[in-house]
Amino acid sequence: MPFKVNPTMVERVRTLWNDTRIKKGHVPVRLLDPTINSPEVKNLLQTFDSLIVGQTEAKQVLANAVEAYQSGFADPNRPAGNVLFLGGTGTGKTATVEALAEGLFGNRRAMIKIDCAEYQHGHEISKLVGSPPGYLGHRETHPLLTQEALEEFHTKKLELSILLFDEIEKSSDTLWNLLLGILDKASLTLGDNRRIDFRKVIIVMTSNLGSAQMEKLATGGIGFSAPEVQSAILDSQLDTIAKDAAKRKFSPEFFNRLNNVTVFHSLTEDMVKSILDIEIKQLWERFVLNSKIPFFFHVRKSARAVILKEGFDRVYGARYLKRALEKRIVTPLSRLVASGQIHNNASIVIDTAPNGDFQFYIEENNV
Amino acid sequence: MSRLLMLYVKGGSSEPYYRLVSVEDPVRFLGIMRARVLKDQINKMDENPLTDEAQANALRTLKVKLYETGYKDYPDTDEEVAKLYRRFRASIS
Repeated sequence: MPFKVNPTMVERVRTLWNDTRIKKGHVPVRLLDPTINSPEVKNLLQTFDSLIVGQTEAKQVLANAVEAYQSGFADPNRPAGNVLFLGGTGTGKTATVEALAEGLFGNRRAMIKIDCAEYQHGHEISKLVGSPPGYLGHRETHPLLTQEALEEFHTKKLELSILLFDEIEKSSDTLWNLLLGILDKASLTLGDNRRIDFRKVIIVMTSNLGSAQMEKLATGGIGFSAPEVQSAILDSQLDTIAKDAAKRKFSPEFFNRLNNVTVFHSLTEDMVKSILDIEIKQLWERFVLNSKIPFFFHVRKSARAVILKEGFDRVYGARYLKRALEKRIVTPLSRLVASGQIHNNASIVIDTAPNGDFQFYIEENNV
Repeated sequence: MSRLLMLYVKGGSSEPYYRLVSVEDPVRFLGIMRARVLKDQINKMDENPLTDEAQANALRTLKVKLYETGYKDYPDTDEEVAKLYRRFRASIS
């Protein structure tokens, strides 16, 4: 069998040979590769890629936090990670956190999600930490944040929790002040004086701050440059707008406690096409696992184009994609199942008619 | 990146069949399909209980396979679809 020499390996051996540290008489050393991820983080990154299109920086930030925690290098007196996701609506901020839960625990709901719009008034903070003693209903108000709730999704292999503050700018500043202690000391005292430890928690906050200005910029047009250049300039400008808006909104002591601020980039049409593929795949899994009559379906290119047109907007991102899918595919298919037109394991083809309406065919190809 | 594959299922509670499917992760897909076929089989057992031996035999004979078609996406024309089915009907049976 002929022996083949790999040029890359030759170069690697030559580099090692010339390295003074491994010359004769020196202690033998082995070159290490700091870019290799742990198997868990590799799995997590794969899950991210299968569920989230683009947003590489956000995925890497979360993966880094998980890796630092697993290797014990996270700050022992602070939460395992804290990050603020900024960006326009429909860019995938919340979906990325759900993908993190899916990747770590196999369940996209394995987290505590706090919808900050429910905390618009200062006194509503008692829903989170419970009422202090002496207040009417003190014993009846059970706090949402407890040590048990945080540890609900811990596994033997991974004792880590995810805490999501969704749309944090909508809450009262009382919540931000509460977060100062959590972000700094990783602890919180409840209304009944119990203390919660946040050292095994990744805290993610999302915000649409600056979205009005972003919308204006995105729809206003920025000249007649090539689309990719235009997109790059736009992303850089959106980045600045979002971070400036966050700095204006939050106090300096809050902003300084954040480990990472990541801006989600606006979605291009190609990215939304990939999101549509993911949504269709998830829809199929939903049908095949939960439907009483499992069946297969294909959405032809012309039908996909219509859904994309209806579901994608430069300003609102992929927000309406699910709605378009529900209207064009889910509702008609469920009607076809309910009316008995689809049988077990049928294969349905979804196409468009010349007048633009959706048509549903059934393949008859049993062996 | 998903690709178009031919799924062949034999065993379980239904007649053998094959279907064109768009698959990104074949391992995950096969897992889902097996879960669904077994779920159907278990549901059927409520009506017609099977002996342990029959259950073991059903599991042993269950075939869920994927075959390459060479296509990335579902064909645009019905003729191409029919051609694909004809090709697999000849090769599988």
